[in-house]
Amino acid sequence: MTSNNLVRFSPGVTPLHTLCGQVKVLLFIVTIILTISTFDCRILLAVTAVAAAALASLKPNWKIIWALMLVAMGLNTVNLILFYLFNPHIGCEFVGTCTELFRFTERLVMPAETLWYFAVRTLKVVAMFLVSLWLIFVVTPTQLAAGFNRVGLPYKLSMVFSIALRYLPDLIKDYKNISASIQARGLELGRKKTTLKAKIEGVVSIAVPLILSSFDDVGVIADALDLRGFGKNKKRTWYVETPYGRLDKICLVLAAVLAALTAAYMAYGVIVKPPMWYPF
Amino acid sequence: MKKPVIEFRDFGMRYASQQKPTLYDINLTIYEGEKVLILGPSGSGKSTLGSCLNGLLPFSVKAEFTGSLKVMGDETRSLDIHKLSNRVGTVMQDSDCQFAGLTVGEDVAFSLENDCVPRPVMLEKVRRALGIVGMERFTAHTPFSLSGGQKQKVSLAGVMHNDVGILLFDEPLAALDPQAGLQAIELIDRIHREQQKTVIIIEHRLEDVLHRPVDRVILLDGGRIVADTTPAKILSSPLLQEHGIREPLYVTALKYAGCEIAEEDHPESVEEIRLEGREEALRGWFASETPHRAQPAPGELVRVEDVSFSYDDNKVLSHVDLTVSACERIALVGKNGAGKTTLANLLIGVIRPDEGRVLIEGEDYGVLSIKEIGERIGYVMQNPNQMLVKDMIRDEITLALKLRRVDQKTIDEKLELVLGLCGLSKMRSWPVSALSYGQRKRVTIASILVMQPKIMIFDEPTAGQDYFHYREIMDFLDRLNREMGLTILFITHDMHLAIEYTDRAVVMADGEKIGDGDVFRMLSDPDILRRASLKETSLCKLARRLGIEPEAFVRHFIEYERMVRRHDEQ
Repeated sequence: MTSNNLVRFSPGVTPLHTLCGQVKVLLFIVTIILTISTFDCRILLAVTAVAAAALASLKPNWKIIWALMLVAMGLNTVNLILFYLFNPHIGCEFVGTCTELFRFTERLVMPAETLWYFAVRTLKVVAMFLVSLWLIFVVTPTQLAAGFNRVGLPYKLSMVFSIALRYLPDLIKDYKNISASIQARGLELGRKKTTLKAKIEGVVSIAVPLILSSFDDVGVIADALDLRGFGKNKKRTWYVETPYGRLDKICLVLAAVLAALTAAYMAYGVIVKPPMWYPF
Repeated sequence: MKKPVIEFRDFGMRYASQQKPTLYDINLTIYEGEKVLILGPSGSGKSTLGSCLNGLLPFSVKAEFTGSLKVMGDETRSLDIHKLSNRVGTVMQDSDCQFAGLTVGEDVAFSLENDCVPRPVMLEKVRRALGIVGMERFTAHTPFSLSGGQKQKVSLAGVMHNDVGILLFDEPLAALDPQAGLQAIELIDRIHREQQKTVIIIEHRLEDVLHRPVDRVILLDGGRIVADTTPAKILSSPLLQEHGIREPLYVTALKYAGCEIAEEDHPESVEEIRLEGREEALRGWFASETPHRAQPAPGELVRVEDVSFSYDDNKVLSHVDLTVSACERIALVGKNGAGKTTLANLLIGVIRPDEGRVLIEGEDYGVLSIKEIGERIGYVMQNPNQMLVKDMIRDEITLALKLRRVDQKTIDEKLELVLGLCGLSKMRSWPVSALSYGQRKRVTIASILVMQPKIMIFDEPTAGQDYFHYREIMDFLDRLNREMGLTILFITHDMHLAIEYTDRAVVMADGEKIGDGDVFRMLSDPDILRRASLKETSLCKLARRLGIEPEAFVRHFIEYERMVRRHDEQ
């Protein structure tokens, strides 16, 4: 965890890294809402391009991004296949026309509109993925907690994640020690030819001591938080929240404009219910 | 007239979940600027007393108070835990759990954040607090990259804001290696003097706390105050032995030599304790005959040959050689991260060498599974709760045999044998949850012993135990060694444990073995002590004052003590 490539504990040095947590969280929320609300590939393309550029500006570890992207695309493909099997005409329903290209069987036809719909859906997954990755790479867990708190989430809730991350490495260390000790006593964890019963027994043999010894720690941690005034006031201030800089102000204006546009766009979608944008 | 900051009047405390009170008839006044040690064996109520001061009792755990407890003039029951924490800053025993932030700066700011202090003021206070404890260069570090001593300093910085008047240290030495412990005591002393704080230290390690002077010692036992006096007075009284507190080794040495210890002899400091007129007696005692311990017969069990091991790209063991023979008692010492635990994991086969090899009774252990190695080399973890998986003692102890499909008759025989050895015969059908910490420790030892390994490795077997329980556990292990010929390897920072209960020390630093040999020689070598973050015992200092060779003096002391103890047993 100390040299974790995904989660960083102190902010980096690129311009976007220096934004304050609240601004990062706001940008994320507005963009993700816009992405979720639309099936218009022009908007999605724009979001993807901007998010990719923003992510690139952070100089992230691309190896991890590609690996995660592969997982996301794999899941997306499974998802699309299920959609298709369930309803081959799903695209037609969104677009309003139906142009059959070819068919696999009597039932499994392939309309051009369904292909288009799947392409847009994939683009949407890519866009959401990039926006989320941007947040993960740009923010420290504490900034995330501070940011969510300052946009309205109670701090006891917003800090769950950062406090969990703080104690996770200790838990991993305990897990390794317990696993080593139980293996030396004769439990074979690595063997392939074990029965389900033996496997469950193995998991229980590690989980029980792990949970029981963690309970002791949870008590101590709760005392430590109490003793330092955690939960004393409804609000708290944040060591990591820097005052707004120029870039913060620009981004806040951007986020506000984008929020207004998104709201207008969503209202339009609800009132007019236009069909999905389809250029062909 | 000094101003009282803490006043207990006929104070008592009972946990809501218990029938009987834990504290009785406490009458105690602590004055502004005092430095007080609260001393007592495990279960004496000393930590409970601390929890009454900082408000964990009754605000976090339900408890009933009787009598009066005032902190800075106000009854604590009229305050709450948050108001109290602005008067009493607590540094907890487990500074790893107390570290809530993801960087040093965030952690020191934690209580300020909860107080809604504006950020510019906060930054200034964090900077100042880190400056006081000498950690300002670490502001952006994560807790994962700090040592135990550094985390404790951060904890201290985090509770000093807002001119907290009273600092409470709950067993500050428990989680630290000897050198870090010394530094902690020095830091507490410096802050007491420079910041004019009232300091309360809760500990059972009297000698280590007395490395720097304290004004008063409060001795607690059975929930009552037994003594409230100066260090010199308590050291010249029989109270320490009566209440299971280890007296400083140099005091014991003087008593062995037949010297009476009086209050005006300055017994609170090894540098100042009066030796005039006593040199003769001490030298005479040093020259007396003591039985030497028979050296174990050679018979090689394990040989580690030129082994290296890396985690990721970090070399944690570098070209280590080690031979372990039958019946040996070895202390594996060195500071945290020196490679002790890695070496133990290597011996039990959980990790295997990147380079070099390990031989068990002449056979390369590469062909053996962890399970098979476990039958020859047993490993007992520091925290028994991390080893216990079954509800019943009997099932816990026989688990390893059942996993090896040993027949029931043999299992029953071995169970009887081990229950007898470990003094658990009467508890065989008890649930594990009904046991005390020390009894749990015995069960975990029994659960390994049942496989009849040739070697057992113990990771800090006495961590967190007071002198009485320390003696109990260690005497038990020593009996296993003597009567069953079991080879024992202790991973420890406890210098007393090493010299009292082992013959040989293997010293690790930065993944390398920097020393291996006679325990008295290793642990009186200044260069090795410094590199391994250990400290010499006070006996070495006493020996130097007398002009006696420290190694020989320590050896004589331990041999003499063994003789006395054996005599007492009979």
